[in-house]
Amino acid sequence: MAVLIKISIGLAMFVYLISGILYAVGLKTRHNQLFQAAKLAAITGVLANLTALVARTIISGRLPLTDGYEFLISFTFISVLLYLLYEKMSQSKTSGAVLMFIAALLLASVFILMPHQHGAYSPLMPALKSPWLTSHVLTAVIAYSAFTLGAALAAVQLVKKENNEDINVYRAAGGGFVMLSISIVLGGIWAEQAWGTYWSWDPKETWALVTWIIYAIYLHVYRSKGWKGSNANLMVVAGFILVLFTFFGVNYLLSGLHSYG
Amino acid sequence: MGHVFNNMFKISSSMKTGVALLALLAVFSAVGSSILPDRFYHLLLFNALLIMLFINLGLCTFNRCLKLRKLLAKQTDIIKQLRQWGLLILHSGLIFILIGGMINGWAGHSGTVKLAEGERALITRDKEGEKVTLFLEAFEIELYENNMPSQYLSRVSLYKGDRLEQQATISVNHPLQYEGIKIYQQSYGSMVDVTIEGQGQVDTFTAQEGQLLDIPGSSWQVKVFKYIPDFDPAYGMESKSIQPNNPRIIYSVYQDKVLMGVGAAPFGERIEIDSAAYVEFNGLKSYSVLKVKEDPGLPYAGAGGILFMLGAALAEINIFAKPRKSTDSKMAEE
Repeated sequence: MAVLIKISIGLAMFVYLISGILYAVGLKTRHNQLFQAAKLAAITGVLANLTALVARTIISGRLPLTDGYEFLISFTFISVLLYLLYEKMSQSKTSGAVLMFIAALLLASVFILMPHQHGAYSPLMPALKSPWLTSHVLTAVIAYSAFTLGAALAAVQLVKKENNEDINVYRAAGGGFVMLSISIVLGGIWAEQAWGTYWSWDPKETWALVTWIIYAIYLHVYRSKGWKGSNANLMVVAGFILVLFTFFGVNYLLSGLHSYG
Repeated sequence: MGHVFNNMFKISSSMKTGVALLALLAVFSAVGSSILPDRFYHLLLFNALLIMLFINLGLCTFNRCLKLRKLLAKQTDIIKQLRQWGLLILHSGLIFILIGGMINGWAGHSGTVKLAEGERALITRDKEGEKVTLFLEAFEIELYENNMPSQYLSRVSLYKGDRLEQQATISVNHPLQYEGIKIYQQSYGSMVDVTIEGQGQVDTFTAQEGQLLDIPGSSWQVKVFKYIPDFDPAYGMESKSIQPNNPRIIYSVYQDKVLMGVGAAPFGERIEIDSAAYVEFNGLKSYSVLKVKEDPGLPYAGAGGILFMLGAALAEINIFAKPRKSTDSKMAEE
């Protein structure tokens, strides 16, 4: 099973990269077939990604939401899935390249940071044995994925100096914000049961709050004078960098209550 | 005078002020967590900022309440009406969370008790001044097949005066609740029964890990450093497993506060430190560390959390609304 998981993730990473390249070349050359091929590659990647998640669920006997490794694989899967949904709805393919490169990089980080974890899982430590685990982590995964989509859309807008996708940037960031809000509250309810306080200023909590604040500010100002357009888009990209720091930085640089490897 | 007051009200209730305060809160939290991770959030400056945010949020929400009817009348679209309700509920939720936090800061208490099996500790006194005590019947660690801990369990009895009020098992994620007090399984540890002999005088102690004991009539001291359930020199100070396959006490010996040696002793072995100076580790007493908490603000924070989730979901419900086809993508609302 470990080998199957490793191969699936490797394949997903590879086709995400190919898909990104095809989207990028498609943008330059405006060949519709390239976009079709890029989408096909993305779908192949999503299926390989899903295979890894299912295999992981089978060997561990629980949903793949319990450690940093499983979080990354789920996070990448939902991000690409959300993008494909967005592409279908909007018929816009301009941000495919950025998103697929991010997806490929996220999976690459699995191979760099946790190369031996494909088949390795440990039973849940006492604090994690809670019905709140699934809802808290799943909402966080969806929030992160929505922020990724928002950042990809915003980054393209910034580069092209356009703002015809602002509404979709707002939808992605707004959706992510709702999910992050729910995730933080669910986490608080759980922490109150497990640790005896709903808020401990643990590094993960602090940085999740900082991330939440930047999107809250974005939602307050994105339509106002001086912020509309590129400045608002810049905030969405900055928010995504904070999301990455809240995940990688806090997990691998700072230690705290949320240290689950 | 009224003019100044009016301006102050305008500034403190404006959304711009709120956004600036949020930005400051983000910067302070980020910087604070790296400079003073333990103390920062207790600083006056930080709490003053939270109070300012609370005031601003309160005034903004009050204004929003006053304008709600007008705003709702203006919107015929149900989604936009829901969004207005959502924004109000979301901000009210945040206010409740902050109120809950402030009540906890003023009137909440929390502390830890260390209880060995068969020990009793005072938890609190009730309104009549009667003692509420907790008695630890047993402490257990449940293990998975691979010997990793699966649950820590404290079987306890709670007494008011001499009357048994409640018997319960406290474990991680399953606190005990009693009249506004919650008791959590936080940690555990071991204490060591030690016998010390010096110049014919025999003393017995129940020592905590790290405790330094004097040997009577001499300049020698023994530190009970650490209990290791499954000692293996290859693992150094770490235990090979959590199971007591080869239990040892790591101890160190000092003369006039100078470290003279370190050893790993099994239980029941009389160790000669010097002529007429002996130490023996007799056994182990495990203890449970329980957190005792009283937070009268919890119902407010909890209600706030639920309002906040619900409000956020309603406020952003328009992300599912079909956007108008326009190139400048103006959101047609408010």
